[in-house]
Amino acid sequence: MAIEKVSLVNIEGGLKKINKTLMKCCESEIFHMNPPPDTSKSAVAAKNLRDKGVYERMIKRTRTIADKLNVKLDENVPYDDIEYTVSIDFKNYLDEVEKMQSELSERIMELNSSLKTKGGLYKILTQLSGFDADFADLFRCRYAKIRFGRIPNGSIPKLSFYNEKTFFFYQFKKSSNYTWCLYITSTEEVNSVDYTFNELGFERIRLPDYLRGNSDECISTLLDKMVEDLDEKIKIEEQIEEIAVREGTKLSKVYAKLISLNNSYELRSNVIVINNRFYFSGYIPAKDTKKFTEMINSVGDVTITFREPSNDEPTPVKLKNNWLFRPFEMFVKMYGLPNANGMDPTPIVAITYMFLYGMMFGDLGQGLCIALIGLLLTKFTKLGLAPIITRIGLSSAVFGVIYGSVFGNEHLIEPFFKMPPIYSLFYSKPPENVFEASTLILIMALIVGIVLILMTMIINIILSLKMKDLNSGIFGASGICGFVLYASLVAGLGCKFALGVDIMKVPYVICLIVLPLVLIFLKEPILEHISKDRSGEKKNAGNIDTGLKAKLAALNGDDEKTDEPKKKSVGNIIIEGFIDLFETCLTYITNTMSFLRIGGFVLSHAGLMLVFSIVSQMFDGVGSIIVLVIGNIFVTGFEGFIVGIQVLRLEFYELFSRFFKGGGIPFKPASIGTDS
Amino acid sequence: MPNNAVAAKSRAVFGKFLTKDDYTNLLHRSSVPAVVSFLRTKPLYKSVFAETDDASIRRRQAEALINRSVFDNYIRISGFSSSGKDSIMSFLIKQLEAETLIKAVTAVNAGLQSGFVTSFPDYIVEYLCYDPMRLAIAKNLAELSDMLTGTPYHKPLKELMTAQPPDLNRIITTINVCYIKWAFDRIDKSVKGKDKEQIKSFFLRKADADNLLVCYRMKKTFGLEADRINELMIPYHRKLRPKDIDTALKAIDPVAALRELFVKTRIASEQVTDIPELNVDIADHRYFRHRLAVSTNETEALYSLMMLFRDESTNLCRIIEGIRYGLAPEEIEKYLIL
Repeated sequence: MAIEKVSLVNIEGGLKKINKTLMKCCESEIFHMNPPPDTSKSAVAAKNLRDKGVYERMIKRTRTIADKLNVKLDENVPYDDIEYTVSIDFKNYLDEVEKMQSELSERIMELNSSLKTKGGLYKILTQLSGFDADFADLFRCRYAKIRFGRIPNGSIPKLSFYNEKTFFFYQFKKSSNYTWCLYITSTEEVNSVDYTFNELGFERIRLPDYLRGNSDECISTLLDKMVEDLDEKIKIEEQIEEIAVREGTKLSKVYAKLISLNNSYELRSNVIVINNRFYFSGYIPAKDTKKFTEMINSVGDVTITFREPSNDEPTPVKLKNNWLFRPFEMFVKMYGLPNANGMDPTPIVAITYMFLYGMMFGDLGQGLCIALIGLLLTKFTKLGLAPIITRIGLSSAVFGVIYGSVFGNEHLIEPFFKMPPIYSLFYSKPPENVFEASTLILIMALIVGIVLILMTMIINIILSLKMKDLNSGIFGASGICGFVLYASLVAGLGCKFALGVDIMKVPYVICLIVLPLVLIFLKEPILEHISKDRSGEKKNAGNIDTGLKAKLAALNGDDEKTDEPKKKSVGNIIIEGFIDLFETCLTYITNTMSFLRIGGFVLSHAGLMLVFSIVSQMFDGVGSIIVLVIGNIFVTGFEGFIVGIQVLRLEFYELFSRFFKGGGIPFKPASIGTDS
Repeated sequence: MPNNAVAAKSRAVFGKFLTKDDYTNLLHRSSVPAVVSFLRTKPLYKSVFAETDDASIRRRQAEALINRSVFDNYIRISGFSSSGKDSIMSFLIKQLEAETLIKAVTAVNAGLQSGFVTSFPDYIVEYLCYDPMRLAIAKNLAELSDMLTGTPYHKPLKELMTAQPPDLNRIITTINVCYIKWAFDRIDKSVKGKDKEQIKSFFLRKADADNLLVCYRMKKTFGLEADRINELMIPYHRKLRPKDIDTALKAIDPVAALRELFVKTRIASEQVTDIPELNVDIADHRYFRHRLAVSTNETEALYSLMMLFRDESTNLCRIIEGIRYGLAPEEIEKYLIL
């Protein structure tokens, strides 16, 4: 039942060493980093070291370069052989690679753009096919201007309105909305004609100078140019591929290192800087102080100091359990981590969980199957529940031997309730099957529940008294009073009904039942009285310190009296006491009865298997086996799952609630990428 | 059930209209090609820009295509109706016919026939009762009147067009009256019961709005006298009674009184902006959204849809214009009909 002892570590050093120190802390994998102290009211010039990741820009740049080189980056690749440590090293490398690829990439972009334009031009020229004059000759005309383009079909009839203007209009191919055309006009009238055509929706197409000859010759020239561009593009792409092969691995490693360096910057938010020296603190397991000191000292110019954390410090909790119990830490963490001053309930959970699961789902064959599934899951997956499945499977198998159940068959092994010393307590002859031993099983379940409740009460008493919590330790439902009351009631009723001995005489009832009830009822006034006495003692003992505090409070305008709790009226105390008492008695009954489910599941398991056994008898040969196999798979999956949940419920509601004090902070070793 | 087909189709098309998020997205676009490239992703505009190149598209071209899409959708949806060619379902064609004629009259009167030729939408030519290209060659309004011979506009306009000098405002009013008369005649012939009154109210609502806006503009901008303004009124009304206009025009502050009339007559139910025209459009927009949702009559549904379609195309043109002139998104948003 251990919570690992931790030491508080303070680290300080020259600001230049901050990166290396943080990296070492992360590499140690045992350093839990504290959040920074509030520096806003500090008298010295302290500041938080939360600067923007200088590497972020370089990471983006690396991604861009990788995209252009078609290199797939992997941030998990080992980068030990990358010796760059400062940003300028990375920058120089990226500059070098970028220079190599940027010229080529730019040329590729130019070629793509050129191919697109030429593709568009090709489409246009096909619309002008059949035009037999040389374009170059036409454009060279001195006294005439020629315009190629397209005009909306609806605008063509409108041209007749402009008959007085001097232009020659020629149509090529026509689509549903546009007509490809040219018009020629004189140099003097070109502006006026251009304006008119523009108003009519004419879209001019400019043909490049390199196109010579008629439209067919132009198309041929254009296709040659496009092939040239494509050839050049392929060659450049091959060059880029060569660079990618040459630099890809290194680029990926550089990227991985940049990512990890950038992530370490997150940790910097927990660092404060005063006069060019950094300060931060955290916790490490006490046993690792020597190893950690050596690691940090290797950085140089760094001072490291250790001390025991005080009780009021928010100390992180690291659970420490052996291999058998460790998987059950998951259940404890689900409920909440124990307080650093509390107790790790993992071993209790582990033992009771395995025990209760085995009791409720006892079957040798099915238990071994569950254990096997658990083993396979542990081996092939990272499922946290897998080791637990193995353990509860084995427990189920052990209880299967006790119950004499193998895949639902109860005739292969003799069950415990057929053993004379056991059945003779309740029955004159051995029960035929588990259903005939139901009374025995239910009583056993109740006894288990009572024992567990009493055990958790004892744990609560020890822990509460250790933490000086009198309310819970003495007067609470799970305190000394509650323990005496519950144990006396159980013992009295047990003796009367099981053994026929009435021990509940008047002195027994007054001392062991009434007195604890009265104490629970009057716990508030008693506790108030005790706390008054204590505060009086404290005032006398520490008058110098409290005097100073009082003066400070007076200066601040605080009234000490206002901190005192308001006094409750007698009526209030009676009503609250009565409700408390009623609730306590009710929880004893309900919590105890809750354990009856243990017996219930033993019977339901036997019942379910009996059903499949009867159904299997309706078939012959293979059919019977198939029914039994399906039945066992169903019961193992369905009941095994439900029992697992029910046991967890018993753990959380009936056991944990009695003694568990949560609120612990998880021990999270700082690592690259965590903002611990 | 052609009646239901048009109404259902109209509502289905309205479901493809731009959403508020789409408008926000459009308002933050930096150029006309960027607007077009976004519209291309919307089902209603995908085919509109099918033959355009995003990189080279110009504002004027984009606006023309958007406006044309309204008419194309109208033709497509009205095709589901079993009503004849000359029924009330041709309301949009007749409206465009009247609007084009007004443009022609204005252009010829100002001697800017060339501007008229480039501006009238070519896709409506085949549906009109006159040839707009012929109107464009008219040298004056008297010649234009001759060219309208054989059309319903000739008789009512002849005297006004041959008068010296011609009264342009009265000519415009007369063209509008022709349109309403045509509509009422077709409604009386083909629509019955409650639907008849409802569809007529659409035209009367427009007459109210046009009358009040004319009054407001004439009084505020030109300071015209009440008698002169009354001559320009369309002789139809719904909630805006001539008596109300008279009272407002004779008030101490007639402009303020006319502004109040917008709210009082619910022509613009609230003063959302400082621009009365925009307030009227916003009120109409909300009204037609409601009518489209509840209507079962094909004319009512299609009319409502077309009014909403015109609002959307107006919004898009305003966004394109705003972006072209570098206005801030918030500034452009003020002028949207939403």
